Amino acid sequence: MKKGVMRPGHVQIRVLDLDEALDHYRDLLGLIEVARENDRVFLKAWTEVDEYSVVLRQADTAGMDFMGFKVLDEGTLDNLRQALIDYGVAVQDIPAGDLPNCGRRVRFTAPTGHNFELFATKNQTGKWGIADRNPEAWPRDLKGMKATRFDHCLLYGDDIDGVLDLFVEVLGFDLAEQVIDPENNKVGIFLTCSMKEHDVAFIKHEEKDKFHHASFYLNTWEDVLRAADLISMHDAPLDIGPTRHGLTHGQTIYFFDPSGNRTEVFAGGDYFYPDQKVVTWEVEQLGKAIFYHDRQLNERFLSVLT
Amino acid sequence: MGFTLHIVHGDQLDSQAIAADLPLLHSLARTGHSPIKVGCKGGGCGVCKVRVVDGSYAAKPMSKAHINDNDKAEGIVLACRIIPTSNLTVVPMSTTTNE
Repeated sequence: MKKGVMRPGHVQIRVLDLDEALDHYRDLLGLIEVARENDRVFLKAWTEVDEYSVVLRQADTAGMDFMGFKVLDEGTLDNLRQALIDYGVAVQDIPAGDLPNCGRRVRFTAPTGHNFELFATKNQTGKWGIADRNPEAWPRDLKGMKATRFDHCLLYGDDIDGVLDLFVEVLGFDLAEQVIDPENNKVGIFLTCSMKEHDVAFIKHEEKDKFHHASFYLNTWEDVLRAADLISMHDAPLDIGPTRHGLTHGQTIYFFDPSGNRTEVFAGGDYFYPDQKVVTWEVEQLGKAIFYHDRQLNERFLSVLT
Repeated sequence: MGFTLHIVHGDQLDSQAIAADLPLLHSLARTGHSPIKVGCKGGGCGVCKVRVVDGSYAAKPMSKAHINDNDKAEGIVLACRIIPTSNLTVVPMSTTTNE
């Protein structure tokens, strides 16, 4: 949080059918539906204090519209807005209320073509289902996988050197892990603004603005196995898992929403402090880096994107 | 009740049974050896694109990034989003299989 960016605040995902998407995000993943507005539905994971973190938008293509990061306060937002302009990035000022109960947002397009935004203010409704004072351990009536928080996105795009420089120099992120090719070129970067091993990650890919997955945190490996059971019970398309990543060492499973957007739920994983060296995986070991147990690449994981 | 799928590979024609109540790709993926590439199974990624040259089907929404109105008119669809209502003859537009 060197420059005041706190955490992933929200992601807006395009879906082909809102009702089918709710069956995935609300009933299977276990997010809580908090509001609907025209062609959008707003949801949150139960441990999050802000009113919502996931926005589903009915559209005629799948993919990600934008990912938003919450910053410390409105002054920080002013500073970061100016820093983006000084760096040479065009910013779009989106007024308060464009997203319901959310303050003004500063949007920009990253060198990989993805839309990001910064905001400082969103209505805080507190953790869902438990009180602020003398809180119980967890709410009793959660659904499905009981996802605890929106954790990060993995995005595919062309200019990951450019996106690395922007996120580190302007937004104060650290590079926690990387994948390099034999010529030392970066082919994967895992960026953090917190103690998490990644808050956003990028893989080098010839097309701009591709969405690999949105990820949600579970507490334990047992919860990941339970998620796998629910994927079968729900007959949702499984991508891969349950397994462990070499990168970040998280315990994970991937599956698809009914519009083909990939979802991850994961547990564990390494932590990060700013004095740590970058963890490096060599691209020759990419199979093990991605699937620590199989140690083999899966073409679908690398090439199926929205 | 089911239908028969005929898949055109160059001048070769393979045939196999498919379910009447499932999207085409989901029938094929259940066998573990789909002759059509399996991706997201949700109409979003576009890897299971085929051209239907004979037969009828009901289609669910498909991403316009991969299937536009002209494609639809020419029978170019995503196999994960069409539910057969007759026997089908299709030409895969991506030949690699991964499942």
